[in-house]
Amino acid sequence: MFKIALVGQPNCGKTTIFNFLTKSNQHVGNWPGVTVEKKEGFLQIENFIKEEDKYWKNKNLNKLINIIDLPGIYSLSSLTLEEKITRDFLMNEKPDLIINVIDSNNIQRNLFLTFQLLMLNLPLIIVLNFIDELNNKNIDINENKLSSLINCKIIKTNARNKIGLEKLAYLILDYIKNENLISKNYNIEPRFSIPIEDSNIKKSIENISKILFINLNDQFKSFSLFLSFKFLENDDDVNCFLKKNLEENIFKKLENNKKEFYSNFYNDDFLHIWIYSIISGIEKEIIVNKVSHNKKNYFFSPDKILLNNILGIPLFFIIILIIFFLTFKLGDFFSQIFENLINILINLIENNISNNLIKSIIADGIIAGIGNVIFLVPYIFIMFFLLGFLEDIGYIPRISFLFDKFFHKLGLHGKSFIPLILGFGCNVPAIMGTRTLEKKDERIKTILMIPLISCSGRLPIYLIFTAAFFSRYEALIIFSLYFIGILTSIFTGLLLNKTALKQKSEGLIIELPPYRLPTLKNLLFYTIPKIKDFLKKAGSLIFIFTIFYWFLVYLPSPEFYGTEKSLAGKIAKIISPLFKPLGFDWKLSISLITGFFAKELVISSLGVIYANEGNLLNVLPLYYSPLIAYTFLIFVSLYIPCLATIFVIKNETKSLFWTLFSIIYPIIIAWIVSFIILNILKLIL
Amino acid sequence: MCLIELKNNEKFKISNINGGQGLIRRLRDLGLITGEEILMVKNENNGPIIINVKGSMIALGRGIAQKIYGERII
Repeated sequence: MFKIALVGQPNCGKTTIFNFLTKSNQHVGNWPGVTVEKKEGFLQIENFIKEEDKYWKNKNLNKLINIIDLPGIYSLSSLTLEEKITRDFLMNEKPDLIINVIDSNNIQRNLFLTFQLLMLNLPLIIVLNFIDELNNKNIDINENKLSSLINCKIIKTNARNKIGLEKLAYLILDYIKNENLISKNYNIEPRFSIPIEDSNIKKSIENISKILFINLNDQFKSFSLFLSFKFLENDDDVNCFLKKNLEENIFKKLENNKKEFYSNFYNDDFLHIWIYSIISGIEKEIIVNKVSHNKKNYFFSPDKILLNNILGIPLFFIIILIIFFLTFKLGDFFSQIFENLINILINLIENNISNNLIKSIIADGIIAGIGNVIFLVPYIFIMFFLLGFLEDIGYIPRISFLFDKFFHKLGLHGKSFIPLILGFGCNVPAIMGTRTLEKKDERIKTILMIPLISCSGRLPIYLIFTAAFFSRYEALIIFSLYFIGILTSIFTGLLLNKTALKQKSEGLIIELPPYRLPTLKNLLFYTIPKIKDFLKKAGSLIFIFTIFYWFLVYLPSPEFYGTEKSLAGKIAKIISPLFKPLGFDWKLSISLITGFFAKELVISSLGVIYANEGNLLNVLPLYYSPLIAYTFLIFVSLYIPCLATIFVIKNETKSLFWTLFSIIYPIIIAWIVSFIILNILKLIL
Repeated sequence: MCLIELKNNEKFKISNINGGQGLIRRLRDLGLITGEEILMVKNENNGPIIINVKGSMIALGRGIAQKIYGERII
């Protein structure tokens, strides 16, 4: 199997290329840090080969060429998790080919990364993406010239419109076919030579590189040039690495070399300046048709309004309100259709199945349980679609700009707002999204704030309860739940900032990509996997759980179905005293426990328990007052992260303490908040 | 002078960044190196700023902008 790594700076269009090559449903976003972890897929070779080509015969084409989409990074340092992931992957896995995607609009800064990749001494193809945007500015790049200067293959693409991508696929296939990869030998001397006349800096880098080449283990020899550069750059990880992998006297010698090297220069970023000066030399040679110095015209940018001091934040809230409004209004319309279908199905079963046990399992268990969740699909689809739209168009990083000042009060900076917004969709990717944050404390703080943001899994509970109790104020009630969640989340941030996690963030550094109109295809690429995930969850976890739960409610005998004498009732008795002060009976209490596995299960399990008495919408108001219903909703919106979220929290914090905290703290805070609100409302009403 | 003193649409040449190694490196990776000419895109009297570096818009927290020194170019 061949390994091909996609590497590039954030927003360079890497993921669109990955999607094209693999036909995978990988999401493309327009904010830095979408690919927080490497994603893999296989090159769809059949789509690109001509039939007469014998080379590809008798090979398992589906799994021959593995493409790995690495996170977007600005440099091969190890300052952020993404850089570490990328660097470790390239150095440990040694891919057969690197595809370096470059945003042609910003060739200087992108070539800075390319330079470091070239020093790695791995085979490289450069993709000049967004070439259309550059051409629109009357600028072009002479790719032959660039190719001869840095000695690698170059291809121009416009990935959004699929221009050049097929050619890229052919290039990859040709490369695999022609290079003698089987006998690839990695302890080769650096092939890349910095394209500049001999200078002191170049000599120093090459001298150290030579020493490294002689003294390092075979598996690292090929990285000599890169390691030499990073060693001179004072990269902590490389320093440690060399100290570990070299004999002491040789490492000492290198350190002396470095000291001598630095004594000649007083500016500590001369290495960067040097590389940038080489790059700008290259740029002068390859840029053609440059009419005048192109100055970005800020006056015509939507930022003038969207980032306006006075209008910016109100506009953000209006945008979020529009998203909620559309989600619920359009969602209501489509889910009505779903509901009718389910009712038809129930009627069909009731009339056609005679065996009472099976009828009960299917109608009361499966349909009552899952049906209450399935109707949610339209809401989830619309919500993710709109969140995806905000990401793709480039608005999300602007939000971090707008809220930066406010987040400083929490010891965070605006970038933390991005995962919080994504939390509206699902907490799991939101928590993984915190990897773009640099400091450990700010990451943990943000991770602990996220579960208090209402994810789409909590929507079915809100929707059913509001439809049953507050049909006239549906939107208002649901919005109040989101609002309480956000306030509690902010309160949590403040609390942690004042107590356990005091380390301040360094401050906001984020690129604001140009606004780009999303394509429908990219948006569907983003949304459809979420719906698939959801349906998978409904078909597996929720399905199995619902049947299991039906037995708990059904046993020990059918006459006790859904009563306190059923197994479920007995289990609930143990914990229900805890919820007495909030006014929850045992049925609500046990549904809260089920919600621990997945939030949707709260509604499934209530559906099962009340299955004998009809539709939840009609049954619930018979048992609970609107006040209790609202308290229950508040509790549900805050009380505990679902199992999947807890796993991610454990993975990302690598701390048992904070994982346990993330479970226990929300239960306590949910209890307190709902208790306070219940009693305030009691006084008012 | 400090970057923060710049008004909108004024140009600036960086001379040094007064911060920790981590910060300096991250800024360098984005192209903020000694001698680089940048354009102030948005600087209100409080909150983060936006600059144009090598053709891209970069938002910087005010605290970070206060650590960047250089001179105004006319």
